[in-house]
Amino acid sequence: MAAHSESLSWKQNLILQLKNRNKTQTQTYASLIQSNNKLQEQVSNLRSKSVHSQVEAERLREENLNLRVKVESGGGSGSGEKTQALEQKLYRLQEELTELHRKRGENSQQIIDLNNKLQEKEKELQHKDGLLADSEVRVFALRTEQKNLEATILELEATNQMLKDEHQALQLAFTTIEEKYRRSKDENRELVERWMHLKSKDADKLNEENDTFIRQRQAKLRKELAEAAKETISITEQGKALLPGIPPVCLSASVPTKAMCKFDAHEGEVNAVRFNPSGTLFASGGADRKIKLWEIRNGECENKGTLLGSNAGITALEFDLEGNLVLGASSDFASRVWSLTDQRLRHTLTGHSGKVFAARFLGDSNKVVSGSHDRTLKIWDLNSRACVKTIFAGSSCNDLVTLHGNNIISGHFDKRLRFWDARSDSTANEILLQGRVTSLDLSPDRMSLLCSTRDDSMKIIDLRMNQVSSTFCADGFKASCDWSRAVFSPDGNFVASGSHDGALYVWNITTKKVEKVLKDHNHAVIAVTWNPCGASIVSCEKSRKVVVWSDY
Amino acid sequence: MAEDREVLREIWEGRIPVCFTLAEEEVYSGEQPDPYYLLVPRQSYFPLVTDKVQRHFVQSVDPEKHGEMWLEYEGQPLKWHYPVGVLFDLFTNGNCLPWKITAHFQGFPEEELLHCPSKEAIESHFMSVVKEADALKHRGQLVNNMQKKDHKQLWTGLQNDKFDQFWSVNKKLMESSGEDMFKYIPYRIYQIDRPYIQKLFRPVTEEGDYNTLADLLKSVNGGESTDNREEVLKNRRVLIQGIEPPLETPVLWLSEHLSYPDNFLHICIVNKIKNES
Amino acid sequence: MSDENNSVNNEQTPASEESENVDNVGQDKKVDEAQPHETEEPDSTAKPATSSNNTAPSKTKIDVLLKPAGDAPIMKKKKWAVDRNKPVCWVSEFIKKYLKFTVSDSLFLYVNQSFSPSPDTEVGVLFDSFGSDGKLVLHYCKTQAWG
Repeated sequence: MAAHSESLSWKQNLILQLKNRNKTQTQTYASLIQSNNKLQEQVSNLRSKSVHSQVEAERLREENLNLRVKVESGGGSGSGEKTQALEQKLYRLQEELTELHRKRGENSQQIIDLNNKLQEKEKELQHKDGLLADSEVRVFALRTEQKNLEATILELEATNQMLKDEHQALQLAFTTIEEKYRRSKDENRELVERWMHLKSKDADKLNEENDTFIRQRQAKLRKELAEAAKETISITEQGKALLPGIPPVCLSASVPTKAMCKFDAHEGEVNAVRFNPSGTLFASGGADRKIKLWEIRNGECENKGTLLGSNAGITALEFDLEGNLVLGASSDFASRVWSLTDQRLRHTLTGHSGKVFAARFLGDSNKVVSGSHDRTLKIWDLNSRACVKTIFAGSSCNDLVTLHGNNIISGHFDKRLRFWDARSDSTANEILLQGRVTSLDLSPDRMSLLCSTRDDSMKIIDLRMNQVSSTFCADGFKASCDWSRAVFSPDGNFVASGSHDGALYVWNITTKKVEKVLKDHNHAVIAVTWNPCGASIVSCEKSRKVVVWSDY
Repeated sequence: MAEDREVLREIWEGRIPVCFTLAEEEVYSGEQPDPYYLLVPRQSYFPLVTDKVQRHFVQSVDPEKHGEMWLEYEGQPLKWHYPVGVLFDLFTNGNCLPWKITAHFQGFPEEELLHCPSKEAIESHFMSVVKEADALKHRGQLVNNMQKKDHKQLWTGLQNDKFDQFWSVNKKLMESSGEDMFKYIPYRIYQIDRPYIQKLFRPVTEEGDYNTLADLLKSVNGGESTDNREEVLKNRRVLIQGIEPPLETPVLWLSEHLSYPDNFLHICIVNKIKNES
Repeated sequence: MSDENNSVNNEQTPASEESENVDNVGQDKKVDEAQPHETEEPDSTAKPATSSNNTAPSKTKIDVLLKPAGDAPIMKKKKWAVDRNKPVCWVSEFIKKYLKFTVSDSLFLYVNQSFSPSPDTEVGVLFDSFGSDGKLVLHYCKTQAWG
């Protein structure tokens, strides 16, 4: 093996050796071992077979022996019948035996089955025991949890009780306080009642005094008139000639005491009423879109004409200074100017985007300022019939007045008075009142402004100080609506306003007390106008009527 | 190459005829059982092939005393975790056919043999050695990147003696071209009564020449002089897979082709027959 | 063979004591390399091993670094000097004893974190092939970690 040819390379040498190895070590023995294995297998087969045969032989030998014994015993007996009988008996007994064996087998099988069942049951029992143990553990856990929860509940209950106690204590305190409050309220009411009682007594006394005073005056007047009637001097002609054209200067206004006449002026509400500057006639405007002109003659009112053209209810009226033009504001978002002489519509001023509630001539009657619920004021030039200025007031305007040609004071829904200069955009001043402003009226001396507000009071504002100088109110006085109008008397000594309850209230400015309450309206009184001559008042109401108040 | 493939095939086909006998002193019932002959693959491990042997002998031993079966040849316990071929080359010198092996069921030599509790133990031992070999060849990268099923195929290929099944996987591990060139040769050198030698050995010299079998033996003997080596070789045989490869054979080629399935080149150095006393 | 093994068993206690000392030295000096081997060389107990080995290695003891893997407990002293010719199973028995493993506990040793060496492999053989920086790293764990 070690010897190898030099000529062969190492690889060929190697392969040769390997082949040689496999030939000598493997192939030589392969068949040998294979056959050996086969033989061995056969041997073991044969061996097991031989063992089988030996067992068989043994068994046969035994059987043979048995048979032989049987034959011998059979041969030895004398009577075959007896044997047969015995054999039969034996056979029967054997059968019985087998039967018993079988039964025993069945029984034992049953026992085995029962045992199995028993085992199964035991297993089941064990399983159940396991479950039981688990459940017990769970029950224990739950019980501890329950205990915890109970403890928590107790705690909570304690807290709750405490809170309840506190609550009760507080409730007690509350009831006592409430009781005290009620008592003081009752006391208060009693006091107020007492006070009111005293006040009404005072008023009665005052009325009595007034009546006596008036009676004295009337008596005096009658006396004077009687005296005058005696002297027949005809100076009336002269006096009458003087009147037209010149606005009367009223030195002393008298407060009328009765309704001179009462008539249906419009269909529906009568929103506005206004005397002309000379006091010869007055105009009324109503929800029926008409303005009517009236003259008072011999205690009767005579219709002097109707101004048409508005497309919705009239809300405010104004005469120009000369008494030639009538200005009317309307809910149809427009203001209109009529001429009195021919009773024709001259101008229609449109541009607002809301109902117009106030319109006044500005300066020399060439301009008009209007205030609307569109929260603007507009200044109109009547020559060009155009809006020359729009003022953004910030709130709905219910009424406005003009002063000194350029100044405008407007009263608003937001309880404010605003002061404007027509030449500039911004407000010069504002005054905040307690209620929505419904109307404005200037005193004859132009020094003070009357405002009526929805808090059911009237206020006079001193325009030099820009502050409230006096306030008027009365029991039962209640502003009728957002555009209810109040006025000064022409002598500046009284103010008059209509109330929601249909009465007309007149206050004395100097005493700041109610001078007169005139009752003849059946509905809320909206507007009032005082004759520039001072002797009569005209008021209008929510339902058709106009009342003229005068003593003559 | 066809030649190399043929070498692999021949190596795989190597089988050793073995005659198993039961140790006389352990015979318990009746007469001595017949010897059991078996053709055992060199590449395999004994526990993989001796099931039948065990079944054959187990009827004849004391059932109370019998333990794990172990094998012995001429008083030398045989380690099951060495490939069969290695044991044969090392202990028989290759010329004792059929190989007479004694089977024991008692007196397990705890100090010398490892127990073999199951086929899985052989498998894990086998895979460990394969991994060790790959750790030397490729730093363990190839075997660790393999899928589990490849490992399984390697093992079942060996277990069922299926050459194609085994080599379809093993050829990846034996890849040694270009960058995959073996880093070190996995080898073990066995001598009787001595622990085996295993050291780092590169397949090529620093000059780029292939190291030969002679170079390997020289490096293992270390400082010994050439004279000594020649003398040693005069009295010894260097057996790999039962043959004596020429000393000029490159070790790389030997590793690729003559390695056992565990990827190690197992080299046995035995005395020459005529020198044996 | 059996005689050798017996002697190994007898040496077990002194060997581990020695290695502890060595370990302390190594820790004090914080030197991992040749230092411990020089102190080991004059060891007399290793002589029979070298003579039988016939390979005349330069050192007879090897520094083995034991690292835990997976769930294995940590050893207080990780580095031990072990005779070259001690088998791997000796090391694993030592670890089991050191960590007070019970009989039923199993222990797996790994080289390179990839394969577990056969229990009869000598530590020296493993060191020659897989040692680095003058020491052999072995990972141990209680369950199979790799492969």
